Amino acid sequence: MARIPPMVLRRYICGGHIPTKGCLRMKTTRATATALNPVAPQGTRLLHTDADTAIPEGTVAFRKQLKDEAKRKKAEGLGSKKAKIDNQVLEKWELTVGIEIHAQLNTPRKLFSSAASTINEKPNTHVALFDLAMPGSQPKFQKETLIPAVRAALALNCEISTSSRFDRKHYFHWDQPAGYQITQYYQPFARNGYITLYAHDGIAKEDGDEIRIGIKQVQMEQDTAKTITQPGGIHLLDFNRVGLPLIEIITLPQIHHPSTAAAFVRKVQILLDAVDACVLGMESGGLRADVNVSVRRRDGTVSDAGHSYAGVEGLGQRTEIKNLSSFKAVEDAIIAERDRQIEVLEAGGKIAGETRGWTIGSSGTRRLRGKEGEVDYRYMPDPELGPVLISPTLIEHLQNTLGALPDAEITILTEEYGLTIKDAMSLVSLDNGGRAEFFRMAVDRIAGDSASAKQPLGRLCGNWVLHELGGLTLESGETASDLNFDASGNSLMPLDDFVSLIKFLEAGRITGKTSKRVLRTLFENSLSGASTDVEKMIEENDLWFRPMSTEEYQNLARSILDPKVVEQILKGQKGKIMFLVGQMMKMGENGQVDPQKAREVLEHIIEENRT
Amino acid sequence: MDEFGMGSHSLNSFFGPVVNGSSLTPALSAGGSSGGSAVAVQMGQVFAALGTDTGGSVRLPAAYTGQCGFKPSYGRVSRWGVIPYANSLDTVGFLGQSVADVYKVFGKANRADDRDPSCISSGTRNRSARSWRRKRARNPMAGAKWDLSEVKIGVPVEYNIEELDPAVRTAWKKVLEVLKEQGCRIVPVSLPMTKHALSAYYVIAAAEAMSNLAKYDGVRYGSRTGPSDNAGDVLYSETRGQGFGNEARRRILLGSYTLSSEAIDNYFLKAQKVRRLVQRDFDRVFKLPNPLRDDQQFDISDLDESIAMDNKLGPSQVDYIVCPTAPTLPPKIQDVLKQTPIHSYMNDVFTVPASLAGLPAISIPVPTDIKYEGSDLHMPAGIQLIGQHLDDNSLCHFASDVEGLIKQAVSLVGPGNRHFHQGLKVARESDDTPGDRPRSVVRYHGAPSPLVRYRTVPRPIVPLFSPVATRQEVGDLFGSKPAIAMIASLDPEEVDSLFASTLNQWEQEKRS
Repeated sequence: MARIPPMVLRRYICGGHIPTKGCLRMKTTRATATALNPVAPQGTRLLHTDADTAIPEGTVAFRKQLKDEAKRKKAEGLGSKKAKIDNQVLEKWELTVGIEIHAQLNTPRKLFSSAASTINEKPNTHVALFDLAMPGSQPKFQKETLIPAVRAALALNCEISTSSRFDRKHYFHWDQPAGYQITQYYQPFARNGYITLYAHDGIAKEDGDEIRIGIKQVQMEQDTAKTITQPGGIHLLDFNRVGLPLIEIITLPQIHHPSTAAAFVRKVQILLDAVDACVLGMESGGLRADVNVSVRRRDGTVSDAGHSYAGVEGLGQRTEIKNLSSFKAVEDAIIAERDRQIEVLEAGGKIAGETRGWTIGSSGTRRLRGKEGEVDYRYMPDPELGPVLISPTLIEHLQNTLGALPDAEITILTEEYGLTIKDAMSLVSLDNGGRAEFFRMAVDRIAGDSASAKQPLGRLCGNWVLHELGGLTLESGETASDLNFDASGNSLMPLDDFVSLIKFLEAGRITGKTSKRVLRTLFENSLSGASTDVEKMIEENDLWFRPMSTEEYQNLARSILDPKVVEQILKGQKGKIMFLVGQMMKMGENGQVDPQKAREVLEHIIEENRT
Repeated sequence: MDEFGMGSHSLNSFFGPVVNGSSLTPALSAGGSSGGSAVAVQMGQVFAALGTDTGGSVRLPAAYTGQCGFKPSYGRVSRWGVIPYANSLDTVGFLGQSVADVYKVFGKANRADDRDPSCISSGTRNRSARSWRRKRARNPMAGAKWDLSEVKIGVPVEYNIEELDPAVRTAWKKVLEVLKEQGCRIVPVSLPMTKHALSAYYVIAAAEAMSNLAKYDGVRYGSRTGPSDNAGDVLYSETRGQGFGNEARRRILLGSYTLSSEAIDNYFLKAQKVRRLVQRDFDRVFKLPNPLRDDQQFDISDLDESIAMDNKLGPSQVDYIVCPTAPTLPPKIQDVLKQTPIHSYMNDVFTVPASLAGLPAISIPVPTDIKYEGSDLHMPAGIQLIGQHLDDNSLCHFASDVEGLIKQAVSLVGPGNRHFHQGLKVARESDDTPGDRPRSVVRYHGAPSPLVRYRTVPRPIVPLFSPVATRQEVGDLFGSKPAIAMIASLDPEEVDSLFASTLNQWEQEKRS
């Protein structure tokens, strides 16, 4: 819609004046609209003079501003990236990081009540008596929450305890109606896990090709209520979130580089996503990380390094940075805190054990509370919740139905199917794994029993499944994924037709260009519900690839030969040959012209012209 | 009742103290915390009353007011809706003028409820019922007869403490004599952990109470005081410091201390170990195995020397334990007010072990030689009968028999006698309740079949924390810091200041 200056609009609305130009122009000049409250235009004009003049200028300035902003961000992004590379390792100091990740489990009910777990419902509509800690109400453990929790723990290679317990962690806060949070402190349900991070996960160069990060324990706990801050110091509470099941993943202090820490958090999210254990990704608030940071001198000369955590000795005093909500925040906060600690230590100071905060975009961490104000949570085994007993059969069942995790999948795709790690990673990440499934089915179908054929076929298919299928979009372009892949690899693209198409292509019976056309037709037919026989279609449209004879090549070459160009080539501008090859390829139907062959023929003819 | 069930004399109430009997001078304690319920029954205002028994809160008032008070096994009656004091000990109990009255009400409440995670499932109930049926009369109140001479009664030697009032001791002896006349075998048994039970109880109960009372922070529960938002960096201190009464504050403090990271090893964890040992003591003494645990081996090396060995396997095992409910007769309120809290905690010494072990226990009144001041009425002593876990029905059966036998044997005008209630100016319309009806000689036919040992899949209902410890481990219980004595002996003003400063220190709420 055309933009109407506010001045004009106001005159229309308040005074019933219609402009004589533009889309609101009247054919005959008369007042059609009567103002409800006729106000002298001058009166309002006085009030709005500034705005009127500001708007046209503002429009221009805003666009420019956006552009500048983008430019600046880009420049900054590059700058900080460069800084990060320099920032991963320091000569004199060693960084040690441990991470705690909270993730919301994907379950229909809360941890201890049958209230539904919801994300964006109307506030305070899914709350049971126990969620509000109503005196006299009691918890009822929802055993269904165990399924995603155990799957998550298995994906993190943990040992599952067949018996675990719940404890109360006491602290006062308005988002905690009971005055305590039910968590697993003394006997968590999973322990001693690990995650292996590879170079392609984005770990620091210094960590080599792969690094294993130990996981101390995984525990289940309750979420707190959501605080909605209103202007004027008012806090509204939404108890829909209170009591939702979370898992907390606690690592060993085995991370020594900031980017590895970020890679770890990212990997955890990928894994939890792969086993369908969690509701939301980090960026949407379903995953939160706390990091514990300490530094020590590499030569071990500092006396402050007498701390230990989870059996790791000789660590420096650590500080905890709470509530980091993005991968970048994890990395940046660690760098900032490390640099702050080093600065303090080098100035002869001491690090205090304290809790610190980080706001996105800031350059340093800020102190939240010190050790003297550190809460003594007074953990107590919950006196009315019995132990959670998980049968080994359940664990075994979940282990068997877990499926291949992303890492295993990538290994299979690269080693068996000959894909590059980059392609394998993009395949795995697409369509919830459905794309990779489709790919594997297609390659297996074409290769049959021949294992050796899988690699070259895999590379060819990989290209088609990733790029050509990816290029198919609806004319309207309404959705991002037009092929509607589901997780088991079914989609709008019929597997059988795709397989026969690739078979013809691989056998050299049709050209790549033809294949693309056929693929497009297949997609369109499948959208309209029509079925297609690939072979028949090629037959009917006469698309089979017929190799041209040398004579035909020569005729074609002669037909496009331009004496001027020939002269240039003969003078030594060899590059011009490719121009002629291109001309030939354009002339040839259905991409029949093989550039290699065309070049040979051309060179031959041009040489003939020399004499 | 006492505020949040905390007290032994029903004096810690916003509404003022409960008085035992209406016309007695000087006023006597009705016991606590469910003293109000007991007096309502005593006055005949109600047929029966409910109370929660955490460490004796139903049995103690029953003993002081001359009523019958029953604490079923932990998990028998749903706690859904009960405002918790200490979840792992709280049990809904019943008060009435006779065992029959109490049993009637208990029968209505005795069922599974899946809203209470600690309530015993119907599966476990059925298993135990099948087992009891094989052993004993189906319904103790249905007139089924069994031979008292087959019943073995345990008398815990550790309960014969120095502080025991002679009148109570006499009443205890009297009951044992009556039972002996009926052919019961009376054997001494040893419950060596009893002396630690009271300390363990006050540590565990206070810790759980602290946790349960944390919700009264003025945000949703409790009233918010003053406009002092965020004064001195704390949001809740003032509110928390104002609403609670002295006893509640004292126990919150005690609980906060025993759970703090510096003290938990020495107090809370040790107390949990003691609790396990108290349970083992009972399991060793009872003929029936505990349905919640596998068969156990017992170490008898630490038994009291006076305990005779029944055979080479150890001392004899018993069906029920008979002991006093309270060490004294109902004290005068004016005396109670002069007592230190520690002294007042002592009243629970005989009721707490059954609570820690989750066992069913019933207190029945026995008239003593002591008369109320200025009256011909004899004061009651409470005698407590304890059975194995889930053995509630047969315990009630037995208690009803004992009640009848006492009435025959003791002709004093005391509790259980209609003149007693009338003497207390009871405005009861009818005395025609089964409990008051004079009974003919109770005859017992048919021996209960030999007690069958059975095993169940252990389903831990009483949430217990630690594995069983040896006695040596808890030998120096509570180390050098007697926290109970320390905190309990504070006067109210000291409690106030300590409470405020501790809260200030602990309560640094989460900020982000």
